[in-house]
Amino acid sequence: MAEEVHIAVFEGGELTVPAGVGKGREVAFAVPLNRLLIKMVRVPADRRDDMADYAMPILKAMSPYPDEPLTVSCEVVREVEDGVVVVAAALPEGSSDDLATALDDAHLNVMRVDALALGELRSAWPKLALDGDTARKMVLFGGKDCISLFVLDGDCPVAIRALSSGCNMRREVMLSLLDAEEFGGASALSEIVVVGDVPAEGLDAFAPVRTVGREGIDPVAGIAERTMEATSLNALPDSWREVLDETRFKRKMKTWLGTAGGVWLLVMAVLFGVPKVYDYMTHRQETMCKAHKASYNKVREKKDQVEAVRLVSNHDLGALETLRVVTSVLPENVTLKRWNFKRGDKLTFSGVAEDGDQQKIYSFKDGLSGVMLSQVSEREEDGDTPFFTDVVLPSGVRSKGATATFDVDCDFKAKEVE
Amino acid sequence: MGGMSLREKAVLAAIAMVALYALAAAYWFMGCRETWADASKRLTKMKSRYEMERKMISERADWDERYVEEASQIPVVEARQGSDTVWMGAVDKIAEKNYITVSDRKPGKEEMSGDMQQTTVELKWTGAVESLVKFMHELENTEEGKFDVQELSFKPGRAKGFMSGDMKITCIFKRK
Repeated sequence: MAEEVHIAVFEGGELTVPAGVGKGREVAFAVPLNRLLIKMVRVPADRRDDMADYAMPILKAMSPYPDEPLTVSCEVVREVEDGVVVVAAALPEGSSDDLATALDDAHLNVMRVDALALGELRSAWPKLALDGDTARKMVLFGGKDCISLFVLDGDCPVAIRALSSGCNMRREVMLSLLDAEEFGGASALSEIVVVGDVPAEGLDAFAPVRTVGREGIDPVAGIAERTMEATSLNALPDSWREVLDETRFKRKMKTWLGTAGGVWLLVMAVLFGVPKVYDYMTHRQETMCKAHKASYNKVREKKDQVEAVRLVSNHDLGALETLRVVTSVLPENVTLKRWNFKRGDKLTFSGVAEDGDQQKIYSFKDGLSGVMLSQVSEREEDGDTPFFTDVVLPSGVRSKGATATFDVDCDFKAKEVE
Repeated sequence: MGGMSLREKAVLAAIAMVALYALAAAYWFMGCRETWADASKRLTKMKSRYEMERKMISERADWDERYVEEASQIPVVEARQGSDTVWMGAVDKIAEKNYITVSDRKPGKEEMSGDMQQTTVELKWTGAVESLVKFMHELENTEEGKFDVQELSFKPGRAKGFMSGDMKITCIFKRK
């Protein structure tokens, strides 16, 4: 999609900006013809690559500020055998302070400068009905700042001049025809077309005068069309271009910094915010827990009662079963001496191997570790649950004469199941 | 700053931005990560608690049913009857029947859980291992009360083949 082109026009000492064009916007800038140094130039083929340099001394000779550097722009209007015919133009900065001030006041960034009269000619072209006619004609556009004069051979300009409003028109027309003759060769003027407010009295002495109304002619639209063409004239001075480049760079930098800063802020917001969100959600869960606390406590109490009864009723890990389990793996000639059982907590006991066989005691310990709860409860779900969670010989095995004594600690913790 | 070119300002801004990101990264690695993890853990724990509680509330009817079922097996004593006399008498009776000599007995405090009561009987006993096994077996299976041996300790007694020790028995019951 083509980018929308905004045109600012400086005419009659006033800057006109289309509605909706805000500060900092880039615009094409149309100025009256008398603000530009403009000249038809024939560029030889070997200078085609540096047309601006070729045209520079020609425009400098026209400049009221000969020492001022000029930024020359050329627009090719016709290819000829020995080169090209171009419209060369430059905006002398020395006489453009009011333009620069007006643009600064409006905070606009100019990306190209064009002659308003060229836009006017583009827009008026269908109305002028000059197509197909190769005869020399003159077109005069009346304007607030000057009268723009074009001498055309067919559709190709051979002379472009800005005439002041109070000038001697007959004299200026004569000079323009001489310019055209010098540039494009001798040719009879077939018609003078006048658009807008132009004092045309006496001009019919040169050729028939035809007056065309301004209706339907929109110079801004013409400039917009020209702006879309990459090869059209751009008399933007280098110093203005530097300002534009700097502005663009600043804008890019601001965008980049804004984006990077925004992302950073987002990152920091996430870093600091996520725990806050978690805390908020946790608080919400707490509130929900509080809301059903009464109901929960009632069920909890009931459950505790059921479990209390079951604990008393279920003897799978009880004192008798524990005694049975231990004696079931007790080796021959081993006697238990002391026994201390606390349900759901611990069993400690000591014993003596009458024959002093220490290996037997270790096997006994392994046997205790290997007893499964399912062997007692006969429930499938207890299959992988050991009866004791841990079995240790805290003091090892001690030899005492022909006998060996030992202590065993067995843990029940976390194995008391419902 | 006034004397700096636009390029220099841009470089400075880029460095400042890199520093800000480095600060964010440092914050992440120097505590923020743990804060996130802790906050997440707290939330997970609270969610689990809430779900568990919700689940339990949804199982209310089931627990009520289980309670009725379990409560039907609980012995009932008169409102004004002392639990110590009831349960110590029952324990004595079973001990005597199984040749266990009880030399000292001490009733525990009654604790209430809903409409159920729980108490303990602590006793010193002497007897053969075989008698002890029979005594405990009858204690766990008698219909005269709901008993469970909470603590049991013994060592060889003075008489050969006899053991002596302590026992703590839990009793659960309801009152009229």
